[in-house]
Amino acid sequence: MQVAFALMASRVVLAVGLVAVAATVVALLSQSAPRLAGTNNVSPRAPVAFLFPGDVVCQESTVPRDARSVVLRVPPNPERERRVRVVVRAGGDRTAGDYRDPAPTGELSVALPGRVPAGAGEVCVENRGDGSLALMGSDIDIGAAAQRGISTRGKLSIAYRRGGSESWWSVASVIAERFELGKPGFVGAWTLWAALALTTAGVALAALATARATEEDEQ
Amino acid sequence: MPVAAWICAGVALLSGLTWSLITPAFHVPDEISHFAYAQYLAETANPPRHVRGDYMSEEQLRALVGLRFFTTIGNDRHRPVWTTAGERRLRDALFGDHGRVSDGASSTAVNNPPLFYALQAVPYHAASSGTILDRLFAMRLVSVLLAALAVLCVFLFLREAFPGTPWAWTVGALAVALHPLFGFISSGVNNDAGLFFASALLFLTLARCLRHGLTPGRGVALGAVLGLGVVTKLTFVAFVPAAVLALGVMAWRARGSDARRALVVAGVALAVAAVPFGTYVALNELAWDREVFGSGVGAHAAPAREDPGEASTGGLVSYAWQLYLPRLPFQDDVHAGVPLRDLWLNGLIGRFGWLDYGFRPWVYDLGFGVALVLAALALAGAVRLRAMLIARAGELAVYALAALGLMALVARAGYSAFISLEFPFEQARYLLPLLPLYASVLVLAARGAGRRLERSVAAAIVVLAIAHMVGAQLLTLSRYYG
Repeated sequence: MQVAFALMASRVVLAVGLVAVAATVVALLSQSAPRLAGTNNVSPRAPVAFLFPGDVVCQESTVPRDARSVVLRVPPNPERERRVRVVVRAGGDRTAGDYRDPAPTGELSVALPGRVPAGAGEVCVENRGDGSLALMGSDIDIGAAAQRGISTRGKLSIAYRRGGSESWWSVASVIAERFELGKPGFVGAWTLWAALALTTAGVALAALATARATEEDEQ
Repeated sequence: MPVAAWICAGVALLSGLTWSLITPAFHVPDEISHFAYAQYLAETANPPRHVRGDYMSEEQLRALVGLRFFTTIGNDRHRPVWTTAGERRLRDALFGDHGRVSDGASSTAVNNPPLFYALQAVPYHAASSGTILDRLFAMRLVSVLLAALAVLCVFLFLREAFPGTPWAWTVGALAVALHPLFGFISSGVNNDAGLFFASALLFLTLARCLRHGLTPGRGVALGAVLGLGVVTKLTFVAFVPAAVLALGVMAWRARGSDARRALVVAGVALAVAAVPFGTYVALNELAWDREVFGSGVGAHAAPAREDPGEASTGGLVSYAWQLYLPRLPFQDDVHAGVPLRDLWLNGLIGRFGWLDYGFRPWVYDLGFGVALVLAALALAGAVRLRAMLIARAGELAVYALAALGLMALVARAGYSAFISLEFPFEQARYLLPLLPLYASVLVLAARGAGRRLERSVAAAIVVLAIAHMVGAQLLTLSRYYG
């Protein structure tokens, strides 16, 4: 009787536990949030560009094809309104977006309307406010920003976001495309799904082994 | 060999394969140094030396730049190659005619003996017609295979430690197979993968000797494992005192008529252990012009402090104490935070990449709660099984000395870094050679729940391990691709 209870209880724990894990995974992957489209991997360590009203700074940047907004970093200040115009040029096309809000967390996310040009291009930032604007980046001269009128060194921290809020399910195919980059030759977009299949197989095997093991009589 | 043992090893293999695919190239800690070592050895048949110069080949350096490696590590907001333009630049670097031979100079891996890297030369050459990324992946597969073998050894160790409780062998081995830090580290070109296998094999060998007696065959096996472990990673010397104690325990047990035979076998074991290490020392002296210990076991190629401190025995003891235990009122506070939780527990729950990403804080808080529950249950399990544990006190002393030896060596290396370097040395993975004992504690925890509930707790442990692994792999996918 005691053994039967122990076996039943362990099976219930295993089954309920696995369902809970699966449900948690589904719930987590269903959470929506703005998703990253790309970044120039420059940390916002310090101000590297100081723009007075009307000043413009431009920097080379590879624009991802799924970019719908540009994210710049400024010193956080919940009080001051920032007014900025960002122009993105690539492949002979351009688009421009405006920002007019405080930046309490130090992040300026500028929506880019219409069709966003993709590929090797340039991002230009114009200070359209009444006060000065400091843009954060890294004070390393690996690719100096070109600025009309005021010289700087260092590189601006630039990131791009996809449009709106998306769940992980929505961006799964995009992740699969990114997954195959920087990998050995045999890897393709299919490899992400293969990796997930390997994990699923491992989980199934572990569950079966546990179910078998907890049914065994002690010696 | 029970089928369950192969299943547990299979789970480790599947987990490791997944980690090796989802972790971008060189993003396992120190993988750039370990790959550089293996490449130099494969290309020149010589290990690198403690000399100035480039430790990476031009091929590797160009690949790292193309992969955006240097701007991705250290910042979890940064990403590897995500664009076709970036991929084109990477391919230009991969398919360019760049040298594969570096200066063979100092790196974080240079102190390591060459056994693991010699093993890695096999897949390196097998994939030599491919790009550096193809070769790296082939080499990663060897590490994954070693991880699977380590889990096999853990299963068999648990069979010795808990005879008569078959479910315990599977549950403990699965907890190791599914452990994300173990899977992550073992998925890369890092000689920790060799160390984990060697240490699991040592624990198994010790268990077999202590449980079934020291025969000449087992003595030779023990010596061989000890010797090969040391020439896999010098950290393994931490286990030598435990092995010597084990031989002493077995000689004591054989006192009387078999004492002389036991001592002879023990001597043979130590002699066998000395052969690989002696060969390594001789090769360093006579063939490679290389130091054995260089800047010490666990040397760290971090920037030196401008104002190095002064080492002292009291300082070392205080440092080591505080590394694992709560600070005593009279001790100077030498560690940031509480290492037992912040470094070891949180690190074992998961800090991944080059320690540049991890879970949300609530996961570590939850893990702390789970750890407390499991610790309490393990204590209860030890009480329940006290008769068995007391009867096997000699064996337990060996395992305890093995753990203490490793912890002391890590503390010693950490103190040296504390005195002279800018960055801390310790990482949670440095205690992963104790995974067989980790698995044993989990089994004790299940046993601590009592007859009616022990199998349920065992099942819960596996479910938690599954959740942990899945969570860590999804976290990794979001960090690099999301």
